[in-house]
Amino acid sequence: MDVLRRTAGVSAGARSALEDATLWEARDKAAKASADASRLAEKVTASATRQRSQLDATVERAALFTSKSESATDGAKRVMEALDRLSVVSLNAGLEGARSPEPLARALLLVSEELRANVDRGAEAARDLLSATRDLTAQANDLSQRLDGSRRDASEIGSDAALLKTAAQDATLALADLEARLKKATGLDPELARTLALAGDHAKGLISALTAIESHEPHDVDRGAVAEALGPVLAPLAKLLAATTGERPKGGDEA
Amino acid sequence: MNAPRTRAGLVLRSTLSGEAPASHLVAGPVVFLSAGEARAIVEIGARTVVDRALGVGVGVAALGGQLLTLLDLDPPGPEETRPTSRVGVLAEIESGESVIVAAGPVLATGNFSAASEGEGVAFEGNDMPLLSLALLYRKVEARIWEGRALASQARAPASRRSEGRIP
Repeated sequence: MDVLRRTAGVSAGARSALEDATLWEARDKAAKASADASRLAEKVTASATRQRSQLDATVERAALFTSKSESATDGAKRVMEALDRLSVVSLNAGLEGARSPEPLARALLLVSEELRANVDRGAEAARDLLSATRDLTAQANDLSQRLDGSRRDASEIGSDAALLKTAAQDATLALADLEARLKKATGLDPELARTLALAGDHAKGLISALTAIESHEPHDVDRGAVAEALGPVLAPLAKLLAATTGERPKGGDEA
Repeated sequence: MNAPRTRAGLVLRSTLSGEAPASHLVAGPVVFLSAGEARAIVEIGARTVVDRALGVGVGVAALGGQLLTLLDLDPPGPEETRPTSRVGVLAEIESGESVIVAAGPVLATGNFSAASEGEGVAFEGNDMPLLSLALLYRKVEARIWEGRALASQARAPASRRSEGRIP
């Protein structure tokens, strides 16, 4: 039982091999976490780069859209200017018609009225168009600004992910250093440490079960039956423990 | 002889309000210019106002390479900056001199029904007064020269002022 307790690290005294094995186990967990972090940071870096390229393309499209809507606004302004000139022509035709003799007067006045009516309709449509294109330009500018902001954010994410990857790589290097120092300090091989930790866990489970049996009242437990049940398993275990630890079992029923 | 039932010309918006000194010449925000004076609606090039009288700016304006007298019915104030209309009216006054009238937009041209009173016209159900450019030009010119004469007198030495001579 003492052998088992020692193996499980339950007994008091100097640092047990199991504690060393636990250190190794913690180191393994840290190494795994560090490797995971490194892999994920790499994935984030790649995603950020892809997102950045997509945003670059979108910003380019938005700039093109802004330029086109500005062109449309200029076009609508030119239409307005042309309609203004036509309006002057129609007014002059009306003035000339008013001072001309018949039948020229009537013809000029009719042309003036028809032209004026159509110019007014055209001017109203051109004003609506101008208003819509100005609105589009404003929206496109707003979109461009927002996309620029997103592009800056994506760039920051990319930089941060790169830093994270570097930090994860530093952690891996530090853990490799730790592994070397642990090997020197504990004298354990990492594989042996893992096996020891596993054995320690099993030993703790066995101790717990045997302690539970011990805690029963003697008249409630048929000790002979217990020994008969566990003997075939525990006897080889005791021998194996003695061989592993270099101790001789004190008696056949020690386990 | 009966008065003509229609009058040829144009109506334009003038910002000279009833409170302006020229209100006795321009009685409303929309005025009528007779076709006898108004020759054409034109796009004015460069323009500048050099003096003011009766709320009217007087200056010069470029039109087709010529510099003509400008009568600006809506001159911007000295401290004021605002866009001015590019469209004006080329007119010929009694003396045969061509002037350009700058005001608000020209609202309509053609033959208009005569106003119930005066020499104006009915436009959109209201009587619009006649703006006589010849009369406006004479009054504005007279007021400007009057002001210049007074200023010259004030600058002249007392001895010369007593002789009643203006330099």
